[in-house]
Amino acid sequence: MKATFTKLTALAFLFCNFAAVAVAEQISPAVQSFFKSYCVNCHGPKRQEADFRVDLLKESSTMADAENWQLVVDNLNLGEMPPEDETQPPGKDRELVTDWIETELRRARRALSGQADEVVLRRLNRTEYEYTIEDLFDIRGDFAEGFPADSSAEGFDNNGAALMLSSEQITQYMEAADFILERAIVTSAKPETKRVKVTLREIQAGLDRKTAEREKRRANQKTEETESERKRREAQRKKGNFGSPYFPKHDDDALIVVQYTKPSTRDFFAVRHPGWYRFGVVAYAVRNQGRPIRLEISSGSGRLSEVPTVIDVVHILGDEPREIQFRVYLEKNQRIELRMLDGTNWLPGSRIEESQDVAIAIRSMEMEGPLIEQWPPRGHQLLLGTREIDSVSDDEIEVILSRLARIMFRRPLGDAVIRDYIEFYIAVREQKLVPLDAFKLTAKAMMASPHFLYHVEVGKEPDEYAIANRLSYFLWRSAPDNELLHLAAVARLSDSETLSKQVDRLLADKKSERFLKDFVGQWLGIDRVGEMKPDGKLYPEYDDELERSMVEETESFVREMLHKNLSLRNLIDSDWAMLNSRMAQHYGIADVTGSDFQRVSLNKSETVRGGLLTQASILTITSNGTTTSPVVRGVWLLERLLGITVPTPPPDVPVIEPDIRGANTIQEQLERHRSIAQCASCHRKIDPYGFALENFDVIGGWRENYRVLDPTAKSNRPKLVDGLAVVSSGTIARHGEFADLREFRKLLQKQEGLLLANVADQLATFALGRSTNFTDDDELRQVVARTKANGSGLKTMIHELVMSQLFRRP
Amino acid sequence: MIENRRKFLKATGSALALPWLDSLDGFAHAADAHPSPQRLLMICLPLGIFRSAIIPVESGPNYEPTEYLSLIDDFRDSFTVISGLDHPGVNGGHSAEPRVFTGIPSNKKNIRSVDQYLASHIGQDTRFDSLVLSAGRNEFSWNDSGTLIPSESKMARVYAKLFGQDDKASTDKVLREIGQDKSIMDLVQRQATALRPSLSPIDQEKLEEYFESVRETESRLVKSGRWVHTPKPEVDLPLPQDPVDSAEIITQLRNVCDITHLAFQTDSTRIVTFGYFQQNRVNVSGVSNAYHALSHHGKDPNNVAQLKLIEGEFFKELSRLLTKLKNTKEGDVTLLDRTTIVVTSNLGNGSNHSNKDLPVLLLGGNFNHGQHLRLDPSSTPLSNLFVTILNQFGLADKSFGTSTGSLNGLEVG
Repeated sequence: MKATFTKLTALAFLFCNFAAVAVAEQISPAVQSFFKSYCVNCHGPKRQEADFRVDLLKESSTMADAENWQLVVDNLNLGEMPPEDETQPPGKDRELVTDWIETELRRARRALSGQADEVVLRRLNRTEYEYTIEDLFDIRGDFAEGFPADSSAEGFDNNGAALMLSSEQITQYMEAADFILERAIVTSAKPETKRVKVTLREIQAGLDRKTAEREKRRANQKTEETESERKRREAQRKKGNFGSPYFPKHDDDALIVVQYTKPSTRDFFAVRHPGWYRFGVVAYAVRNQGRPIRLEISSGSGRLSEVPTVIDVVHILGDEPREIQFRVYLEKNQRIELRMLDGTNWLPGSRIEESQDVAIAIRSMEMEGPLIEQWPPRGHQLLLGTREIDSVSDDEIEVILSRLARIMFRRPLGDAVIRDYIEFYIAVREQKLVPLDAFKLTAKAMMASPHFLYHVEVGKEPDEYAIANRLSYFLWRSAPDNELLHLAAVARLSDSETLSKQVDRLLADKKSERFLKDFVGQWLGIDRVGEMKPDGKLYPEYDDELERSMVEETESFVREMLHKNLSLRNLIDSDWAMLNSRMAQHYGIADVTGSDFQRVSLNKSETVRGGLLTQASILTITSNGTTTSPVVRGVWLLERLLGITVPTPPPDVPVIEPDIRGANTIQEQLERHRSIAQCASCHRKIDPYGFALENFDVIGGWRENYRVLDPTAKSNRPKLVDGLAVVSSGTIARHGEFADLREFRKLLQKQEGLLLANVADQLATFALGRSTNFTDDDELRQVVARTKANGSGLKTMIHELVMSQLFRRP
Repeated sequence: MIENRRKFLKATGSALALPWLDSLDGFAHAADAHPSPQRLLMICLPLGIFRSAIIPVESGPNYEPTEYLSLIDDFRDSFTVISGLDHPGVNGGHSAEPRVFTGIPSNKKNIRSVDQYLASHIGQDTRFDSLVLSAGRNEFSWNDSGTLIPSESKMARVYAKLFGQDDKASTDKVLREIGQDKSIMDLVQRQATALRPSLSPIDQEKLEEYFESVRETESRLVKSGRWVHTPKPEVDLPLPQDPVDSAEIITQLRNVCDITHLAFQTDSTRIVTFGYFQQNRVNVSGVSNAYHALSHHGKDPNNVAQLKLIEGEFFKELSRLLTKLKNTKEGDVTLLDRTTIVVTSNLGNGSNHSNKDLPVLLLGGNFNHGQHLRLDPSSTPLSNLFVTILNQFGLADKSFGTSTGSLNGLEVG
């Protein structure tokens, strides 16, 4: 549960329903007199600031009572109340009251435990569905593309209360099941794995040969060239780039590729079966004078209506041939294409050797596949073992379906459940369906079952299988593997040593990358990078590569913290960063080469970078593409980093219409809105956090002045000029003043306790797929305390969370 | 071809199953049951509509057309501008978007948009209950249990759904599959029923969603089974080309409008919703900034000028759609006379995220048009208009969402 500002309107209205009585007698007289001295004037019978009355507080007999006490203690602890300009209670009085409330809350927690109405039965969200299919069947595809978007709560899209189900979704599940089963069950012979290695010259020779044959044929038939043939010939001529005489031979058989040309595997390799393929290319840079040239490798159908999927962008630097390899899942008729991102377009017909532009030489390309690790493939074996579907007799079906149900439903289920499916199979067989169709239909029914679509936990307490599922969906975003299911079967997951080892095993597995990206993306909001593209005129340096890199930087940063178990303090500031050449260039940090992210030590006297706050991803998502807003950044920092929920403006407050005409500084603009009392109470606390980041522009670059377009320049030839100077100082209530970001971070470091509590809360919310509430507080606090005692590492915190009681109760 | 099929269907007594089509040859058709089928099109521009370019200064019939209204001035007698409406208790700027057609206050669970409510009453008469389309966005259509109806942004897919012809073999296959899917729905319902007692009360409630969705899927299967025997209408429009680049907002909007017109003309559905939106760059001549960023114009003249170009394109397309509806005859009247169109936004002011005083255009249908109906801001819920619309469709409902009655001043005569 998150700490909250004074205005928690949603809860507060509950109070108005009670008849006005004096503070109930069960409440300690000391607390009552404290309230009378410091609170009741604004939160009592006469005035009800924020609709909150302390005189109506009573001993907690419901969750709502308790959450109101929690509100009071949070505000006292955070020093939010009484307000700065009111009489402040002596520290010991404050402590006495908070101690009493804490005791009351502990009592209430025990009394109310289990009464929290949190949804446990949540369905697989789209991410979980896709990964579950991927792991069970080894099948990729766009089967989930039409799934309705999952809605989020508490910042995450795996929250049971928010995950809805509709008949559209059911229809989509049925269609997805058809696709998956069709692909998984093999009915034909094992395809031959082919391997073809070619040079571009060989491809060209092949194309030339085809053209010659076609022309010969036409000459023989004496027919006119049809329109489509003419188009093809024209296209071929343009494509003729890599073997045409215009292309100088670089050395041996390598040929130069420039921007226009797109060598494709389609020219030498036809993908006839969906599945895994290995692609290799040997390339080196030409005329690049030490600058890296970017080569984009993408896959797709080649149709114009489709945007190809970028597999990677590699930086080609040296003139030594280098082999680059990828393992790629391809659909039928897909191809892999290479595209050079630097240099200029080559005009077909011009003589390339006259150009002095950069180029990439391709020595060879290679394709191998489909790569078959087992036959029948994994999906088939999951469904039917090594049997062929036609050979399945009706007597065997009981064995087959029982085994299948246990895997698909991720736990053993009672005979009655299995019996349903067996009877279903027999019934459809009696309708003269062949075994293949009957089996597909039965498996489809399993994939529409609540046991497959939901995280089903039955009984009062989560059992061993529930723990296996929770752990697996937390750290792998997918179904538990055999080892986890086996440990559940032999009831070993209640053993903390075993469980701890499993946490390490899951985190060490590549599949934990899904957790990392999903959690970091949603917690920090960097999954929204690219949603609000910066204005191209103001920020011409922004491009797809920077966009991708800034997300990768933040992911790499948290990944480094996770795997090295670094202290969570690094989130506030660090003397290292994860950078590639592009991000280093963006930050003005020298000597980082290559597109791969690497750990770089920061010279803190030279750069302000370090921690999360200076990362371009964060600074970009808190901008609107044209301007930055201290309010948005302040809210981000409070909510995402410190876990302090900032209330939305109360509905009765008039919204100030932004007016950016004139040369007001942002501080001046905000000053206006802080002069309104209703706004000031919150914005006083929000805005300074944003001011500290004012030196960062819309895309996270450093600025001393705002960047503006020269108003006298023509709109088609924009010119950038310096605007007003940036001011990044401010005051944080009760923490002090800061002159710049460096000082601000020192103040922030003092709030480390809030940071740790927030990360624990975010992890718990994500891991459990439900909102945390006040009955979880004790356990969350213990997780934090144990983590802190062991060096505050991120990995330690994940361990502590999984070991905690929180993970083993509903 | 169509004629033959009709004759055949008439001869076999299944003419009633044929969707309502304009009668070329005097044959009886489904419209006998509905002599004047009404349609509803609801459009939302979730980034707002620049106020002074849409709302006239004067109220009443003698208003001076504003910049956008002059783009549809040919239809002046067929629409009404309404100002002052909003949804009480709906706030939160962009987060009010899903509530624009539901009117449910922000602190309550969002359910039942007016289009889906209407669809639950008149949807059974057409092949599709409703079409939820997207010209960049549509998070406006919500069902009774509070689930968002996903929208379709690929018009080629909608085209195939509405007009793609099935042969006999595939019809049999479809019928067989419908039967099989129904049997799956039976089975999983049994499974869920068996699971229910072992769940906590709140999880049992959650499982209700599953039951409801499964039952709904079943009734859809039944309905599509009924329609399988009815051939789909044939249309002149070629398969729409969906833009690859999401910045091609005008092409997308045009495709959506074309499909909407045809869906109404062929009586494939009587209810359509869509939204006009783009977060980022749009390919509109003279526009360099992102649409969303421009909507927060801060009164900057350059921003406003670009924003108006993007919004102006919407009104040009609207004018095109109105022309097509007007030119489509349905018996003695035009399709426009039988199509009620609402154009609005969840934002009264896109620049400051205000959810008050929403811009509303009511077009077509049977209303007392040709005026600017000005109401005192925040005096009348937008849902009052929804009640008026529901009544026009023959529903007797006296309330919807937070309505306080129906909207006066729109009655004909």
